[in-house]
Amino acid sequence: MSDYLPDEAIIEILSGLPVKSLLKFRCVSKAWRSLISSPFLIANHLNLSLSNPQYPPYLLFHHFDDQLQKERFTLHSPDDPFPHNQSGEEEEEIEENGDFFTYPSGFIELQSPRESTKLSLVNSCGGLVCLACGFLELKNSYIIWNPCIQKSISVPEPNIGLKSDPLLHLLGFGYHSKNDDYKLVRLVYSLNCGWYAPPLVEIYTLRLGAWRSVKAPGPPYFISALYLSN
Amino acid sequence: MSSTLCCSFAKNVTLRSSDGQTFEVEEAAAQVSQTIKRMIEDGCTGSVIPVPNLTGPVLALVIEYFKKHSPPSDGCPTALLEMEIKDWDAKFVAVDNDTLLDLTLAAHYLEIQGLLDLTCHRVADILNDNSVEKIREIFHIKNDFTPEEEAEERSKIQWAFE
Repeated sequence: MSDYLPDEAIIEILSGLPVKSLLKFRCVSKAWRSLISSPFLIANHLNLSLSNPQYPPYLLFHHFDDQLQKERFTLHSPDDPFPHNQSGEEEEEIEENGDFFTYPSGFIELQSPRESTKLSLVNSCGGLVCLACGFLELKNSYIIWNPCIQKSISVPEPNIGLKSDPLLHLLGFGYHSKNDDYKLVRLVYSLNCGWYAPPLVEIYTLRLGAWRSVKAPGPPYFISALYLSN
Repeated sequence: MSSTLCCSFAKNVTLRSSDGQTFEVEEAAAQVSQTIKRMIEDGCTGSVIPVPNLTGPVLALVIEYFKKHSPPSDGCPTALLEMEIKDWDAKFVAVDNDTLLDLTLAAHYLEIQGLLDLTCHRVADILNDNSVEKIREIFHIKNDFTPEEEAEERSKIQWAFE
């Protein structure tokens, strides 16, 4: 009787669900999986969920666990979001517990997108997380990760500054609503030229899957951090 | 009754369901549906308006909704009236799953945004409380994954099942 609900109505229904239920329902059937993966539903859902007080978003917490010697990514409920800091306690106690943090109850552990690599956060935007493999200042390999569906892509190596002298680079990751695209911007300072030389700029766009150089030089002053969002 | 008096000159339209049942309803109330509103504006009112996607029982329910949600003849709706309608709405969608889905479909075809929002919310609440297996049952969906495919799909989003 009701197996003919049109896609538009199903999208309307699914758009109001919390992300966890939505992901679960990818297993209902192939048609539902493709509907739930459709850009239209994703955009609709993101729009609605950002303004839906019924299902506040999860918080993603990332740290390197000294004891386990690995990167940990955990999702936390907004009701009891943050791992409790134990640094105020006696030192012996910290040693005993082996960690500075106690996780709140009810967190969800995610698998790291690169198990054996040290990862640093570049930025997160629209449910995607951009990570740099290795320490931000040194390495040039980046990944863009969707923690909800545990999928990640490797960003190809950038064009500037792979084999040259020590460089300092700044990264920003954000969403360009006009083109419906995610971008990673990289400002590269050559230390040889001094701090005050304008940086070279290149941009990676997710849709294109490639880096391109920006002709105009960067600002003629030093920027210490770069964050992009909408 | 004053409402009968004041409406005695109101124009009626006749709606016909897929199974041939006909219902008479005030034109103003039927225009809660954008689809019917357009048909009336296009001059279809002289004859019977066919509603081929809805069976008699569903159309009867939709007409109840029309009546409750038709614009009041005596001006602005009061806060009290709005609350009463909200209560009425909640009871209106507290029906069995098949009827609920039929109402969702009706709201979609007839472009009744208020009813569509109402039913979609109700369906979302039901979905949220249920397992994948139960949802297949509610929506009459055949699981077309092989056991291996389903296991793989589940493993990719393991955290959602925790």
